[in-house]
Amino acid sequence: MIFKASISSNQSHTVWRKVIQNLSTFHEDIRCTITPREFIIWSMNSTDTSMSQARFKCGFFESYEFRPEETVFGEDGLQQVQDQQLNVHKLYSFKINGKLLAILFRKPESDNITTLHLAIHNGATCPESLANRFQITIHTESLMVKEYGPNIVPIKYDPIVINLRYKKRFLDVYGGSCEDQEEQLDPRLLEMFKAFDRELTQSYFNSDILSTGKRSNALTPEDEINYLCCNHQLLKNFIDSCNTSATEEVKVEVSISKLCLTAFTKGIYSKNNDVLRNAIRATNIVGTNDLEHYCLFTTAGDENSKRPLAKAISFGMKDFKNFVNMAAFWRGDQDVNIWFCRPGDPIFMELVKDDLQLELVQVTDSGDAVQPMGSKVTVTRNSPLRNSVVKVASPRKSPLKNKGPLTPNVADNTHSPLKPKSLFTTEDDEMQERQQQRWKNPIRGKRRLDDEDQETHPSANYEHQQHAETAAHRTQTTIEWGDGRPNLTNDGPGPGAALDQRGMLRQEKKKFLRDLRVQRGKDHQAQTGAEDEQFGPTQKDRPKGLFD
Amino acid sequence: MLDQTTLFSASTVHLEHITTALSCLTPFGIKDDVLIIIDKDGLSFARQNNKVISIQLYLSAELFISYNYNPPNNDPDAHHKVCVKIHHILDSISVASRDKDDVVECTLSYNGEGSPFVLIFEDSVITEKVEYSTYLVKEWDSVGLELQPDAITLECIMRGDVLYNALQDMKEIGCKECYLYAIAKTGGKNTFALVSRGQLGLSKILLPSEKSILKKLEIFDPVSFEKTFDLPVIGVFDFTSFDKIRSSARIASKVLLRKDVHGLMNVNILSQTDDLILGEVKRSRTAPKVGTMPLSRDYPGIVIDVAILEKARLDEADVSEMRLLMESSEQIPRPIYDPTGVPAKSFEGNGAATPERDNCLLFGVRNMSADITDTAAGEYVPATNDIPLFF
Repeated sequence: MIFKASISSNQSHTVWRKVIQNLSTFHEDIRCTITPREFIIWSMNSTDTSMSQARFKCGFFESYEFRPEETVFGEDGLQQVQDQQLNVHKLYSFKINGKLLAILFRKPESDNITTLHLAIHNGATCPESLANRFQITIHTESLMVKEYGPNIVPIKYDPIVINLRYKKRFLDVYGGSCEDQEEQLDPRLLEMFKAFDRELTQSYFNSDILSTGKRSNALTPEDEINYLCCNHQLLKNFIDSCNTSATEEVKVEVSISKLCLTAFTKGIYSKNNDVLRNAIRATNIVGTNDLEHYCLFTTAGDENSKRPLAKAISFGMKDFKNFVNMAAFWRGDQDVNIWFCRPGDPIFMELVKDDLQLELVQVTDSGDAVQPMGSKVTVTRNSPLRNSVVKVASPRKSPLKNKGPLTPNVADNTHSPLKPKSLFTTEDDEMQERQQQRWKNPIRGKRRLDDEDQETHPSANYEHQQHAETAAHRTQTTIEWGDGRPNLTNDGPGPGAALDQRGMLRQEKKKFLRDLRVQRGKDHQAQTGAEDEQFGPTQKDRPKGLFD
Repeated sequence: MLDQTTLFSASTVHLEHITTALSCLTPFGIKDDVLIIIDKDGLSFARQNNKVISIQLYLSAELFISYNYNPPNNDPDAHHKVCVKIHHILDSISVASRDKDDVVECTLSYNGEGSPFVLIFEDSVITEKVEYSTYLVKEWDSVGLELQPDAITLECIMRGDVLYNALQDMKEIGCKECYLYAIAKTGGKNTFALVSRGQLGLSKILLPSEKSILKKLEIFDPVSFEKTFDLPVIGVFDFTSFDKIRSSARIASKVLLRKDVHGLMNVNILSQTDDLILGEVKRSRTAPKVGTMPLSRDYPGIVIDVAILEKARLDEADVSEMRLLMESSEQIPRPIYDPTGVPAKSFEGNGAATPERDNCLLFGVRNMSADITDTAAGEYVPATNDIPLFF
């Protein structure tokens, strides 16, 4: 017995079944890899456009035994990987017919599975008939015992490490600056940074990812990565509300203020403009307040465009829908992590709960990819221009909602970000406020500087001193709180504003806080009693007493 | 509405029940003729396919409100045969019973050779009369499909739903060939398993051996026909034929399986109406019909009798493979269930190669000793001898 595992809990059976069923929709064959720590099942469709992976930690199983050293039959599946710490791990991989597997694990009619045993014998004592068989024993409530031995084909695992790659890049881009700005970051986001970092270092397959070494400080447009974390229910609602059978693609568009999820099908017209297929489009828009976290990568080029910055990416609906629906077995609220880079790069989604990690990778549509203006940067590393044009403004926001842990905050005495969002401010107000903030923000105000750059750009010889001043610093990363953040009523950068923007920001903040405190005091005096009596728009100003 | 002089007439309101019963015949060829044998006790529907499988379904006269059979000379053993297409009857019934709130009375009648088989449906407003031509009469030929009662090797009574579930599973996993494996152990632990060979290789479905489900399992020696233990009976069937009993097993309350030494298996299915699964579901779904009459107390239920001929005689390789499967799997799940079990304990826990080999040799020896009575034991020796090659 080189592998033996069992699942007993009812909930786990459901999860196991759903996952297998879902993965079998990708491709006829699904691939499994057994490691000492987890059981990985993955499947990629025949056109290599989407891939899904489920990783069951050994804790998911009631019992879990893996003894690769006993392998005698099917040695092709045996494999060793070395991780960053030069530890060697043994794996065993095989592929199996997914459709059949899905049938085997389906719920028996008017019956329930009580225990499920999985085993691969392939050891020295393995009889010929059990060699390269995935032995499945199912005990049902009606006392039936079913044993199946589907054939397996031992293969080598080819880890698709897009997961680790993206996390690494994400940490490089956003996580790097957290040391010096710790006090401004949402602790929960920091938590996630830590978790991803842990995952990276512990993974078996991190050797060629971590070994690439820490990149240089400067960010280039190639580094672009955007991150989105939202509740699973949000995606589920989207899937449920749009007509998934008629739409083929999904577009995710995220900007500072809102997230648009669009399900669409492109129309097809013949030469005579006859409709061959109707175009259809359904959009769900949610405010970014409803997201857990999001990190956007913006370049100076984006900033210059008229419309507010938005990151858009579109990909196929079918597998996305399956993925979201598959995760529906945890009725609770799980957070989905989504990473995407530029259009054309794969999008990666991840859902983690307890002992199971579900992943989906899909290629994205690069058709209407607009090259950011920053891309005029040459790839040569020593070009001084490179740094001057690229500007990272990652509005790393994480609305705390009302459950975030308390942290000492500079704005504690004013609008605490921890304070629940005031219920009755209208959406318009907020948008306006946000827009104002956006444009008044001293860091965003750096546009002038960029304009300057562009003016001076034609002369390819850019002064080196300028370079020092305009280099893309991590400190330029805007870090904003979710709602109710202090309204930065600063004056914008004067022409002679110091280029040390961090210092400037501090200064501005201090000034602002002072102002705010004064303002607060005034306001408070003005409406001492009135405030308490504010009710919602549908409520009467003064509620009627029982005996009125 | 029919006069009493017709050869046969019977009327009933239990259309649903009749539909359920007749649908058991559909796997045997829905568009083919079914032979209806009319006698004084009831109706038998019979059909056989290619002389390898046959079915007889018996509807007792008690099912009918009125049942008249007037054989010419009042001969008590007289019977009449008539051939109709089964889907014609089923279609007519389903058309007639469209109105769920009304009671439909159905009258069947037949007036002997040359006259049509007539169905008359009457509800409160409409009367419909359907006539089927009955030109063809196939003689019932059951040569080779009759069980030899004094040469039985296996007799087994079990609950129908269990058999149905097992068959359903086998169908879903794409079974091609179906093995039946039954063994009565001296310790009282009986095993009845269905083994499927198909796309998945060999899969095994072990039916519960509890007395409440596997009510009786007796194995008889193929030579002396005396009750014997620890000797398995293995039958092999083509699954497409074997699967034909699935729809019958679905409505079964009890199934009696008997297999004789010539490779004929007889499946007797009794569907008692009160624990008829399908009926229960249907009844609860469509609220109790107004004026639905309960089935008569004397009504014994649907009785189905199927005879299936074995596909081919098993060769030694098959037998040994089957034994290996049954025995290996008997040992595999045990460690998980019964970790204190001695063989399991010795088998687990030592990763080193040498003790492992010792164990496995022991293991092999044990297997051999268990099989020493059978020629198939020879199959194990090379397997165990092979082992040192791997070290």
